[in-house]
Amino acid sequence: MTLTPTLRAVGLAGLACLLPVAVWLGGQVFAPASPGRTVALFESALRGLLVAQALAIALVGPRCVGSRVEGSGPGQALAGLALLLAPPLPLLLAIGLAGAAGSGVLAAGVLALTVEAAAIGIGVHVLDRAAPGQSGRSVEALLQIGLATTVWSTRGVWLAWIGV
Amino acid sequence: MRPACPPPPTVAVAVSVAAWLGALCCCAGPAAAELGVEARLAWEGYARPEQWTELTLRIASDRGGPVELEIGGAWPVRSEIQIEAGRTRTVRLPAQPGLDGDAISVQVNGPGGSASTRVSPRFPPAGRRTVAFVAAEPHASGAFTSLAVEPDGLPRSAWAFATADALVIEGGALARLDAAQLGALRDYVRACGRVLGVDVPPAQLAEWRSAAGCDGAHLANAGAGDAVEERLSALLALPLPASPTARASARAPAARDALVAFFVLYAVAFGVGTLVLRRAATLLIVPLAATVLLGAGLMTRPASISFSADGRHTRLRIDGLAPDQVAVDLPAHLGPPASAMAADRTALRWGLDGSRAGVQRIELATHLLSRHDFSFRFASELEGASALEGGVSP
Repeated sequence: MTLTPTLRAVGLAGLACLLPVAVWLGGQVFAPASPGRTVALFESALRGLLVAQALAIALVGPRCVGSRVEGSGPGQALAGLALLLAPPLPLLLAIGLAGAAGSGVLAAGVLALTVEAAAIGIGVHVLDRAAPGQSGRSVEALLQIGLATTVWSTRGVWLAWIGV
Repeated sequence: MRPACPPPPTVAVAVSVAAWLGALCCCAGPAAAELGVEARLAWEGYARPEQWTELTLRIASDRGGPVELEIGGAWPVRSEIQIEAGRTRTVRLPAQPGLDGDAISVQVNGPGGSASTRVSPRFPPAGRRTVAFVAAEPHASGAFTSLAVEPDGLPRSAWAFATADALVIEGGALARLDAAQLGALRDYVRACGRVLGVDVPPAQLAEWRSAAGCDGAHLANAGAGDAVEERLSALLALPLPASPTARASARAPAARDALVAFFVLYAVAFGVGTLVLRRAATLLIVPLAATVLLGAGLMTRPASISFSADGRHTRLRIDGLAPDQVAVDLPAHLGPPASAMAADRTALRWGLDGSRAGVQRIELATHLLSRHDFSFRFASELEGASALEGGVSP
């Protein structure tokens, strides 16, 4: 699949999720601290990364699916999701090696984000059919804000469900 | 009409029942071997919370073979010994009471059975100096707590002397100490332990002075008529040499540098790839390849293990790079770690037999960037040695 401007933007959004967490973690692991704190640091990094990715999906997701988007379709949506989730993979591996999360927790995190993305894709398609055109764009913006607010305000619940 | 059956004699019934019971017991399996254990703490049971003390175990079994020992408390200690059938074996292991003062559990698993017991430590009042009087007349003082200890209650290992801030020993008691106790006392003097002898024979005093650490400042002798309390106060006022603190070094190890460099390079590569690559699949290869490279780089490198000894203290540091089990063998004379900075207390395995005699092993689980620092109060034979990089085989 060709890397469209939309997909490039999604890839950069994925990188934007990783960078703040990685920079914060890099600064913390250099500080003299008790070794037991290292695991806690990686746990915090995992929580931050999942919240950032969930927010990114809520904000970027509606933009990369739907009839108005260039090259729109299931393939585009899947590629967008992969480009959003893939950049932090090395950090997820580091979190696993640090003993902060097991493979089950990491898989549950990726599954939760995939479910969120799928729900957004379905919602956007429903909106496209119900309110096509410019009015649909306004509804889409409302959807982004509503989703991001929901993700942020309920983060304690779904993070606990994941087991983080 | 049938003739009445005469009642069976009582003795015959009893013998029959006994025979049946005996047969049942034989069929049920061999009789369990008798395994007995007695446990006793040094210093008449006085100990300090989260400080090592010496636990003496007397183990007897009807069957010979390997016996596993597990000591509970704040820091679990395990060991394995060989025992001969019908003979009692005495072993001494480190034990560390917890802060709560709960009894220390002792579990013994031998051939054909197991036994357990518990031994309760006695804590001196917290926040006060503690002075042990070995066969000497205890002096009451508001400045310290006096512990009256019989010569037999003195530990056989120098590292177990940390229970008391100072030791007062009468010259006459020295004859009642065995060779192990005298050796431990000499090592304690060498490690700057505060010792006040009362009428100690000149030859013994000279031996101590020749071995004493801290230029002998922590060793004093008093005559029968001298003011013991004054000498003690002077000794207690002397600071002990500071133990190496187990604080993490501000200097980050190379692994952290390499990890940060990796993520910087990766972020640049992915960012540039997002802008210049033409296909999504090609861009997806970047994070996948980076993950594989990182995993291969970390999981194939063993934990970094380093020793350092400055003649008075020994330190051990283990830096983990991946989930792994690491075991490090150290001379037992170092004593158990005086301090540890680790996520958990790990496991301490104490060697008492055969090829592992005089060896203690620290076993722990490492993770990425995990760091475990241990400090030992006593000097190491590794002195001057040393740094050992690389994994240590279990």
